[in-house]
Formats: sequence, structure tokens, C-alpha cells
Amino acid sequence: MMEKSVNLTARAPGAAPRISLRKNIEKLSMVFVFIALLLGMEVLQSGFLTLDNISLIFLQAAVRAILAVGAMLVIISGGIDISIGTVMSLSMVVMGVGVIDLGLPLGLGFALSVATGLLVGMLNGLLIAYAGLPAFIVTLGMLGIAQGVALTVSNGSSLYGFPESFEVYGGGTLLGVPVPVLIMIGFALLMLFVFHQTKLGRYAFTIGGNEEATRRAGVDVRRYKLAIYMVSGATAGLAAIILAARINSAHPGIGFGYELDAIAAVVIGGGSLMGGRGSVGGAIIGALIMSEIRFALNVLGLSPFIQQIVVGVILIAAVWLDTIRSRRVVGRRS
Amino acid sequence: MALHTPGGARSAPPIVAMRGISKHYGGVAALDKVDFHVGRGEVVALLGDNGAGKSTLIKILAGAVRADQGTVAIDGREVEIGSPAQSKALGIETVYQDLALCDNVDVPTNIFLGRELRRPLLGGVLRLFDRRRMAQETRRLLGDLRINIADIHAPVRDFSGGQRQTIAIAKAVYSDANLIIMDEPTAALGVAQQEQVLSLIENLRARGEAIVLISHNMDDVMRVADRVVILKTGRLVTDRPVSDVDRQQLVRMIVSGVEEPPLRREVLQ
Repeated sequence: MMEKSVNLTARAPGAAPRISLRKNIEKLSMVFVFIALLLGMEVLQSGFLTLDNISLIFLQAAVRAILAVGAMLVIISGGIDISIGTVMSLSMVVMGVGVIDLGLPLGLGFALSVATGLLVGMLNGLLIAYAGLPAFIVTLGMLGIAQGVALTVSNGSSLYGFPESFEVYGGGTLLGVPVPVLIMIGFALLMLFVFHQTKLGRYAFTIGGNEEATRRAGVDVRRYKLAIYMVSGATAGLAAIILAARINSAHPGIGFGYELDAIAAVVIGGGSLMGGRGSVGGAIIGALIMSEIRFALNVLGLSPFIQQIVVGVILIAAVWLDTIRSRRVVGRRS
Repeated sequence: MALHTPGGARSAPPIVAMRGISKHYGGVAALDKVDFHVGRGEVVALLGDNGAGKSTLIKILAGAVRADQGTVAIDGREVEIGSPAQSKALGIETVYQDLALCDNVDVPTNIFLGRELRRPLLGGVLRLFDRRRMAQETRRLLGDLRINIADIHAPVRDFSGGQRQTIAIAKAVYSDANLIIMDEPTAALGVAQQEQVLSLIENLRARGEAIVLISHNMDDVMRVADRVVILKTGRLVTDRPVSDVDRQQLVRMIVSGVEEPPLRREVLQ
């Protein structure tokens, strides 16, 4: 037999470290953006850069970061879930009714909040994965439904009267670290495992890369898509607990708009709306930057109305950048 | 370049044998009593114009279409292929152009998609992906097939079309496939990249794999195929060793659907 080797060497031998370095630089550059924004604020408003303020930014980032990590999983799989904000409201209201009106123990209330999100996520997932409806439309409809149910159940007003111990989850600290930040870190570690060591995470990436190829490899794509939307819903239920604890009440209108922040955080953190790309760390850095911007706008005295505009502009700008980035990646293909 | 032994020493029973396969769509016969077989270490080119019936024949093997009549036997044993999953379970792998790979993940993730290797942690409480073993196996597989890829951990989109096609084929080989069906494996590739894919097909034949090659490129067929099977409007036109035809004859038979007598080739040496 003749010795014939197919030589497919297209990359320099030193190419491997370059790739991983490039990946990290993308994430590192966002850390630099975070720091640069802090320094910029210090210039604008001397005395801004204090440990208390930084701690506040992290505290306020917790809810957004948890939502963003869930949204990241969905977006990596090539989907979208814009219902997470109002699902968070609904989860919060259901928990409020359970704990305040029915007198359930707090732990059961937490479970109720997560279960509510899980259930709505399951509805989303069934309609998207099994009925084959577009994710954007399904979750847009669900955004309205969840909002309507939350307002109906709560009669359109906030629910007050959580037990005193509830506040710990919003304002407490452990060894100087705010409890919400600890929950965020714990959740991030759990999701790191899900992203990298479970089939759910792995197939989210391959479905986002090539759904048909994943199906042809024998993967039950519909089941995993269903699971992905369930995780996203459950994430909204978890975030609802922290947000409710921070305001020590259940507010049926507070969640709307958080989906914008979460999706912006995903894209700022390197997630691609075309699917197939993203990371847990990116989602968290993105959420930190979003919170930092909101915080800075508050300090500068801009009204929440103006903030809405700014967040909208940031979201569009981030997606624009992502489109340019994706085009460059396609361009690298020979 | 080794010359193909005319007729081939193909005495072993065929790995896949289809007999009397018919398939009708309404009144139209997509396939009419077609026999088709492939042996180990044999590359069979399945040729025909559009609508000749070759994709219907392949879809029957892939479990996407059921034949109205006829039998399929694997290793001499008659089998039912009712679904794509059954086809895969019988060791039939189809490599489709650009449908095989996830661009955004690396080579091992693609090769092991749907059959990831795991290792237990904490006495089996947790099961982690065994990335090291998957990488080792991938390197071994690519080495065996003499596919040289420097960085298997780069996302697949970083590779050329030829490399991607060889990775897709390697993925099929790793399944311990009985039969590998390649649908236009060199279409849309540059000349050097076609060469990579053709060399790989030759390597696979040397390893004893059974391959069905669907191609519109007669040069590819003449170079790597052992045998050609030509269909025309659902009927078998010819089934003969590639040494008994030349390029012009192939094209004429594909177009006309009329079998021509075997070429009397002068012995060159």
C-alpha cells in the first residue's frame, strides 16, 4: 500500500494558545470596560469610587446577572426568551400570595416562585420545541400573559407583609458580602457546571451551531429545547425571590423591562443572537456593566424614563456590534 | 497510483445487498426492481441524472423512505429499515454536504456528538465529560485516517471546506459504520480540497470500509470507484467494474439510459 498522507495542516502550530487567548481577551476587555466606566464616573463625579458604591453595583447586578445567565443559555441555543421579566413579576406575586395570604413557610414560597417560572418556561418550551412556533412570538405572547396573570392575581397592587426573615435575602450580608451576590455566585457556579458538564449545556451550543446536524447525530433536540426554556423560566423564578426580598414586597409590575437588561447583558458579554456562542462569565460581566450604567445614570440624576432610552440604545448598539463581529467570523472561513 | 484490479477480488458476501427494490409515487416508478450491493473495501459509485432514483435508493438505506417491494440484507441477514434511527443502528451512515457538523464547536465535540464519553466523579455521584479521552480518541481516529489537523480544539468553522468534509466523514467512520454513504462529498470544494477528500476515500477503502459514492464528477468516479451503478428513470442501466468503462461511456449511459458493451481495454503494461 502506498504511503499517502492527507495533509490538512492549515493552522500554524502555535495557533492553539492564540485562540484561547483571543477568547479570554474578549471577556477581559469587558472587565476593562467595567473598570473604565468606574474611573470615568469618578472623573465626572469625584468621590464616586467607593467600596460602598461598588458593592451596591454588585448588589443591584445580582438579579440581572441571574436572569442574564438563563437568557444566555437560551440565546446560545439560537432561541430567545423575552418573557423572563414579566415571568419574574408573576413568580413574585405567586410567592407573595402563598406566603402572605396563605401563610405558607418562606421555603415553600421560594419553591412556589421557582415552580411558577418552571411551569411558564415549560409552556414556552412546548410551544417552541414541539409545536414549532417561533420563540420570539411565543415568548412575546407569554410576556403579555404573565403580566396579565400577575396583575389579576395581585389585583394590580403590591403585596406587603413578608416575614421579617425575608429581608435577609435582599439586604443581608455574610462576611461582608451581600446575600444576593452570594446567591448569584452560587447560581453562576451551578450554571457553569450545566453549561460545560451536562448534555443540556453541550447540546445548547450544538443546537445553536447546527440544529439539523445535532438532530442527525441522534440527539432528541425537542426535549433539550424544552429543557432550555424551563431553565430560563426557573431562573426568572429565582431572580424573583431576590428582587422581592430587596423591595420586601411583591410588585406585579416591577419585572417588565428586565428582559431588555438581561438580553443586553448577554450580548455585551459576548453572546451571539445568531446562537452558538456565549458563556456564563460573559453574562455576569454584561449584567455588571448594565447595572453600573444604571447606577451611574442615577448618580448623574437622569430620570428612569431617560434610563429606559439609554438601555434601549445600548441593546441595539450591542447587537449591532455582534452583527459586525459575526460577519468577521464568517469572513475568516476559507 | 495503484491501478484497480479489474473485476476486483470481491468474493466475500456483500455487506449490504438490496434486491428487487421498487418504489412508486402515485403512478410514477421512482425505482423499478433495482438490485444494488456493496462489499467490504469497495467503493461503489451510484450515478444517474436528476430523477434517476439514486436519492430514493439512498433514502431507503437511510430509513427515510420505505420500499414498496424488495429486500435489504446486511451481512447476509435480511433487515427492516423503518426509521433513520434503525438505519444508524444497522451501521449505515450518511454524510451530507454541510449538514454534518456544528461549526461553532471543536472537532471532538462534533465527533462525539450524541455519544459523549463520561467519567464518574465522587464515586459516580456526578458524571463529567471525559474531554481528555474524547480528544485522545479523536487524535487516534484522525491519525488512523491520516487526516492531519493541527488544532482539534479550534471551532470547526476555522477549517477549510475539504477539512470539514474529512471531519464529517471521520465522524461517520467512528460509528463503526458497515456502510458509509457520501452524497456529493467533493461538490463545492477547491481542487486541493477535493484531493484531500479523495485520498481519504482511498484510505478508507484500504481499511476495508464499504462506501457508496454519489457524485456528478466523473473524474472522481473514475479515480476512486471500484464499480459503477447507473440508474435512469428508476431502472438499473448497468452495474460493472469501473475498469470496464471510460469517462465518455459513463456520461453517454447516464444521459441515454442505454447500456453499452463493456469496454475492451488494452492491457497497458
